[in-house]
Amino acid sequence: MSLLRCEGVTKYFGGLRALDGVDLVVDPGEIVGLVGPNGSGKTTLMNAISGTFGINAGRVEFDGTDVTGMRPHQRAHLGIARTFQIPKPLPSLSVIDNVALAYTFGRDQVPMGRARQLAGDLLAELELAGKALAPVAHLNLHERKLLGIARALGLEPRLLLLDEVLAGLNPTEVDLGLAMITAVRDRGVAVIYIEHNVKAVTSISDRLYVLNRGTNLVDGNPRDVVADERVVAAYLGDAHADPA
Amino acid sequence: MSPMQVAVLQTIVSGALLGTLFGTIALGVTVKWGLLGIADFFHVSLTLFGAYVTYSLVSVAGLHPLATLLVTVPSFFLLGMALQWIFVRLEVKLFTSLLVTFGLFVVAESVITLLWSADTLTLRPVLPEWLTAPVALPWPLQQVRVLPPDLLALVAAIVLIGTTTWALRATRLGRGLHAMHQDPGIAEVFGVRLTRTAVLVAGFAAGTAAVAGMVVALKMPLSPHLPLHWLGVVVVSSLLGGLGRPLGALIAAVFLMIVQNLWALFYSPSWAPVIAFSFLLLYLVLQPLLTGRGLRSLGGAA
Amino acid sequence: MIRNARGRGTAGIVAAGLLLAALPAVSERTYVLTLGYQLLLWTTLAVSWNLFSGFANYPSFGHGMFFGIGVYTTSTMLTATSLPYGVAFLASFAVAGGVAVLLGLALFRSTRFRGDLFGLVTLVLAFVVATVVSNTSLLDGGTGVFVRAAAEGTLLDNSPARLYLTVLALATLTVVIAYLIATGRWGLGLTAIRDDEEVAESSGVNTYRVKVLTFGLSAGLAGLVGSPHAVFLGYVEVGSVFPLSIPLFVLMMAILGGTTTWFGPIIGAVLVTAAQQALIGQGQAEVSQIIIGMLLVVLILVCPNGLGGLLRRRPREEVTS
Repeated sequence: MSLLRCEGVTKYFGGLRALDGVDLVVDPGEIVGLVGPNGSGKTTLMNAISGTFGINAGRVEFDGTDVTGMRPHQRAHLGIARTFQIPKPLPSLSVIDNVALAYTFGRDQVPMGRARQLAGDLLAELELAGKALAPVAHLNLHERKLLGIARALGLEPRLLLLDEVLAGLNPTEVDLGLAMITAVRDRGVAVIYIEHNVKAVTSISDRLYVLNRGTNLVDGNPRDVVADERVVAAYLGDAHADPA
Repeated sequence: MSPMQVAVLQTIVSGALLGTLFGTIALGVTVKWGLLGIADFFHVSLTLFGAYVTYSLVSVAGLHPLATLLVTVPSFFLLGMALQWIFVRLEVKLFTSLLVTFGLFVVAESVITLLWSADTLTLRPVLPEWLTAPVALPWPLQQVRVLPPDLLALVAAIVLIGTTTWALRATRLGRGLHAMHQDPGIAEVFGVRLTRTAVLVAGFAAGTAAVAGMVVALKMPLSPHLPLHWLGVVVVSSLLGGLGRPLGALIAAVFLMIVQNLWALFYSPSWAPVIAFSFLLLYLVLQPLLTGRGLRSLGGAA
Repeated sequence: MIRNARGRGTAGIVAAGLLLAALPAVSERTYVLTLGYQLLLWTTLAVSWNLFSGFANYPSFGHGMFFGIGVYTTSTMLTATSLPYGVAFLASFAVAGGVAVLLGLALFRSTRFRGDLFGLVTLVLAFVVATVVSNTSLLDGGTGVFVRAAAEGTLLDNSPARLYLTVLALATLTVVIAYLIATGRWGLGLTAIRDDEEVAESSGVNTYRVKVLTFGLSAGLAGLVGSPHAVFLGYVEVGSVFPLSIPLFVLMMAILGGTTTWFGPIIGAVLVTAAQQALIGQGQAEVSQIIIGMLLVVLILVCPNGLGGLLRRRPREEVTS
């Protein structure tokens, strides 16, 4: 059975149709890449899955449960975790408490002492242990993105939504990031991965979805998808507006 | 017309005219709040301060009521500019401004009590007859009487709110102000001088408080705690009319005062103050349901 | 280990409370006990305000209203019923907290109600409550309520020492609650709400529930301390129970002392109350009201993050640049 099933997800912002009947399926333990030109609705879809806002039509089902009307924390408790396009570390908390928050308010509601312990272990795994007690203001961009992922993993999710976690990083950091995403998948966590860098996505994705203007354009095997002429046309049509 | 009909009509007209006074007071509040990001409770106190100054100028110095504007408007203009300059220099945020002007609001009551005593003061005995004798309205409302200060309130509202609405739409300063509100950085690139614009607008707002204060002094007995009773109507009209929209605030104030006066006519007047607040609470709670934009602040862009 | 540290902290606060309980034995003078009463009353108000409004950054102008609801709950129950004082005491908590919970249930459904809008709605509601009280003859009806006679022979019995000890107990309770929240899981959730509600929610925090319950607790404690205050006043009337200066002073105390810690508001409350008492000694009440108000306004303008924020400002700027 599939882990996540989105059917006909539709979302309007005022009169603007950001998503128009998008379908998406994710199986347990697979990496699904989500690509598309700017404004194609990738982040909106991610927000619809994590529950940031309600949707106007369609349905989101997670692990056989209809989560369409659920609030974000309920979805987090079921096992949907996310990062943000611009990393949002909580500035009043130390690095370790940013992660402990997710453990102590997550599905198992671990007591604080234990949550800090688990958070420390996770930070060590991500090689952030040295900064565990530092305020988040001391972190650089790469470390902030790692912290975002650590906080998401603190929920012990079954589905991780990553929103452009590699944007703005140097090539070495990108390679490390890709390795980490694969490692997360190997622990049995399914990943939906939004990325502008199509090359990076195709290298690790099991399947690829292409959105265009809020609708499904193509999906399937990464190599076939990037060769699809509709995808090429969508990107070229956008090329002048968006050199990235 | 039956006596009841006349009473209802009279109540509606008086309420509407009182509403124009509150609309004029709300003018400064809504412009500063909506476009400068300063929630200024003190503006209401400033209006009463203007009323007391008018009182002293007329009763002690013997000035003509309208001539007091030559003194009060420029000095209030400077006062408003000075206050805004401090706010700009200290980079005061919206909430801090709310706290600071709320503090000044509380302080102002004590200052006025200290300067003019807590007793009720009224200009009525010293005013010329043309400012105190009721006037009949033209046909078909010839049975309705209004007082000259009420008509003065109407004129002040039309002139000030009309000018402001036009200036916000059509002048360079108005467009600069809107641009500044949208994005100060970009506005500056396009030549809007941020500090100067903000200080000028705040000065203008304080100037309108002086005008409204004059109307207040002619219209009603003065006492230090009046702002407490005005605050609700002024803030509620600003919010209902849409922050930054003087015309909206005027319409809301007129509407609220008509409803409040009608309520006082038929039911207990002591409950009337709750009406404005009930409208605000109703509006605030219902608005997100009506427009479905309650979660807009959370919605990420696509 | 952490649990032990929190246990020690709690014991320390309780010990400080017990130490202060010796005051009536040291001095029987009404002036001393009343000064102590004022300090502890404002401490309770500032710390309880901070529980929600400070920790979660939802500054409320309604704390004076909840305090007033507590005052009127007790005055009404003492004068209109023959129930023992203990019932009125608990009812003050329940009514004030209940009003806040209902308000929270309605407001926090939408995230629009924060910052200036939340402040305004709470302020507006304070006007509504004051109007309701002064128009309802059971509660007040505009004539005021004499509590002194009804309080005779009750637990408090109009005794300055008993009033002092009651408010001391409430201040200690409130500080212990603030300490436990600040150092525990609940405080972590509130801090996350302060920083970014969207992140808090996606990290599993039920922000709606946390906000509603904490707001209720914060208001309930203000109502609770309103209960002995009804007896302290002896004669209760709308003008002196719901003045705007109460929420203003509570906000300024908490902000000056620092809203991100459990002890900041205590410092603010003690400083402001001490300054107020010192000024009241010198001549006119209006003048001292003006001086203290202007002092607070200037301090908020100069250091909006409190006196602690002023000290910390420099190093923090270096870090972020």
